[in-house]
Amino acid sequence: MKILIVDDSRFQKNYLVKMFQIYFPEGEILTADNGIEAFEIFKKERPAFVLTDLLMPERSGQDLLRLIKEYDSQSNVIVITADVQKSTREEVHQMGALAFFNKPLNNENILELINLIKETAHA
Amino acid sequence: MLNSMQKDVLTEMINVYIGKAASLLSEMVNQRILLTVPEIDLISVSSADQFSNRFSPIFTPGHIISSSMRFGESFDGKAYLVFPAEQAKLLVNACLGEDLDGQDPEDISGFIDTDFDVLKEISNVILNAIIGEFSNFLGTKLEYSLPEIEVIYVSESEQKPLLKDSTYILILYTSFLLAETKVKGVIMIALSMNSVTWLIENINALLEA
Repeated sequence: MKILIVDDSRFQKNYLVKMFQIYFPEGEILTADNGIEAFEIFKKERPAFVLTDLLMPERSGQDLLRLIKEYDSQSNVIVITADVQKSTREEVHQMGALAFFNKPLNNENILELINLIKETAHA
Repeated sequence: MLNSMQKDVLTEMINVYIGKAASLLSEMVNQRILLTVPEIDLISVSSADQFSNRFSPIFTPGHIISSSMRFGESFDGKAYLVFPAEQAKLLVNACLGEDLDGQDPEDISGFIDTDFDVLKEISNVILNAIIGEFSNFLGTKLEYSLPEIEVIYVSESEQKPLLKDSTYILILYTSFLLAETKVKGVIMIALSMNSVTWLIENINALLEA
């Protein structure tokens, strides 16, 4: 199963990749630094899940979510952001995000994230 | 600028916001964080002359690292997370789970892209946790700029270089104490006049409720 991780922070991306290697080694992890690069990878690789930050250069996570949903309304996009605003959470849910997690991810919500991916994939 | 009741309400709000931010920082560095009670003041730039004296631990002459984010549109301003350069390096290493391994923490030439990347992510999480809660309190939606990192030399004669473009400054001063490294930092929020007015109106509404 392909999972695309999108974040302009290498630190955050590396952390997520490491966590997936530990807790979900069967996943094939792809990465992108921004929304433009991510959408190109999405069209080419068709990952089962996209995990995206919101505040990024070039194209934001909201833009990426909109593009992906227009391209494939059944796609699974999970938002991982430092933005704690209720309005942002509501906005991305209305746009079709599967789930919303606040940074930083700890062991507890990493497991919640991975369980969500496993359950959704097998649904 | 603020009467005692307004300041009391604002202090209580900030206490909660800073507490959440500290909890997030604790998760990032995997260490317990102790906080001092935040000092909070809302001042005009013209009366900021005492600023450097009040917050001397970080604004003494030397290099500082500032990570900042602009926010807007209805509630607009700029938020800063500022550390002395040598303490920023300690914070990065704590976040990466690394030792200094003989590096001189005061040698800022030793900063590499990864260090700035980590500092940006720390400030992204910390500043969002505080500014985002103001947004929730005011019932508005904020847009953020990407975090910007600056290494600034603070000289003897100019100890408030970050404040020159702002009208009002909501100053939050707190010191982080990591279990193994005493990392101190300052969080500052500069607000526009309209934003200050809006915030005070909402605090007044809370007091009257």
